[in-house]
Amino acid sequence: MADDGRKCALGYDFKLIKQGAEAKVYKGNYLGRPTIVKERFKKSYRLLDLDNHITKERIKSEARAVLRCKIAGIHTPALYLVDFERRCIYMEDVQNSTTIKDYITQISEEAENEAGTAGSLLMKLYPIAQEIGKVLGKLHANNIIHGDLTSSNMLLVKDEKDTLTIVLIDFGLSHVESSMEDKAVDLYVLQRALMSTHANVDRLFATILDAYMKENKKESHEVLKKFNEVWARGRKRTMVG
Amino acid sequence: MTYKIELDSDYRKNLSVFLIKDVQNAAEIKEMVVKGTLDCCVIKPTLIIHPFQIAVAANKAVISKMQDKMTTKTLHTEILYNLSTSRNITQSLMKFGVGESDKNMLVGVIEESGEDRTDNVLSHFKGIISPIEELPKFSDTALIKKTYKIKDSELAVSTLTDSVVTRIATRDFTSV
Repeated sequence: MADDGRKCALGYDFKLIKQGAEAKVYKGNYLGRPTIVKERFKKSYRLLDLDNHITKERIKSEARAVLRCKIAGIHTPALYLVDFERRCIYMEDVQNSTTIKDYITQISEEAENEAGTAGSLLMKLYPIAQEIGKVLGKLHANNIIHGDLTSSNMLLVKDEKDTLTIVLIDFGLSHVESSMEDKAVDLYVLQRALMSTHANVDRLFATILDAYMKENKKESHEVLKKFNEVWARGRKRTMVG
Repeated sequence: MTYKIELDSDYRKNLSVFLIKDVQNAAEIKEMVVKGTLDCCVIKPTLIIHPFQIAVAANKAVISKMQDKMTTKTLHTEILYNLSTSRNITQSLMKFGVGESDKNMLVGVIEESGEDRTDNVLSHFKGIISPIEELPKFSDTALIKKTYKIKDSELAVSTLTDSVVTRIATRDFTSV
């Protein structure tokens, strides 16, 4: 492939794989390991000093959240380097993984070809939904708010024994907060994301929520109450701002 | 047999890590390293789980040096400082550096690409150069877990090496 030889901002070893509004994501090899680099590029419309400051704080909070998750017993990529000057986080490229989004799409297509019912599709996704709920329950029980829960920000790893592991990624919008409000909004964002990307499996979220309640038992009642409130009014608390 | 990897490609440096057993002249080595006549980093193997741990610390040290942001005076002390979770330089160097009575040590050599001075560095050690694969015999897992404050619940979702390097990468702005 001709593109492989073209030098990107990070040198020949890295290839741009994704570009979002906040960051560019590269894939390559670093210190002998398969690595993902997330670069929070400069925003030219911001005052330079302010931009540097904001970026530094966001990189810090993202890296902290990854470590906090590990301590809480949640799978996250290992971090290899945090470089404020380059505005980059270098992290483990999780091997043999697919995003939950791609996995659901793939399973859905397979089910369609087999002319199976929607019920059998849900059955297939049930163990994964349960695992996701469990991970999110643990996340919130430890007061970590992800901030951008979508099926693209969860990786599925299947090992030789077919054990399912969910790895959470992209903590760019995360923060530490114990409020029920933030937890409910976190779940609401996920529900909306699932609804818009996987219209055929709208009942997936119910399973996730079920497993979530079991894992985050202490707060389950309050979070559910708040969730219903949020659901009725939308993500923002007020109509202002 | 040996561990050699390329550090950040911007700076064209390589890191080699050697395991040396039964070193008879630890005091002499220590003095030479402090004086700067022996250009290498000497580390206690008990606190190292995998040479990659040194690679992450050394890479960070090289980048800090190039960005003029080192906390300590030399590249080699910076590596020891990076390995530690403490902000106290003296304590970090004492903890991860070798003592005068130590017999086993890990030696990290940073070279420009194309340079080869490892033989020269290693010739100063009166000990047995051993395959790096033998490192697990010297690593003290319990002590590493205690030093980096890693609980078993975390090791259910991460290897000890991954947990340690994540802490090294984030040491400047996290308090473990």
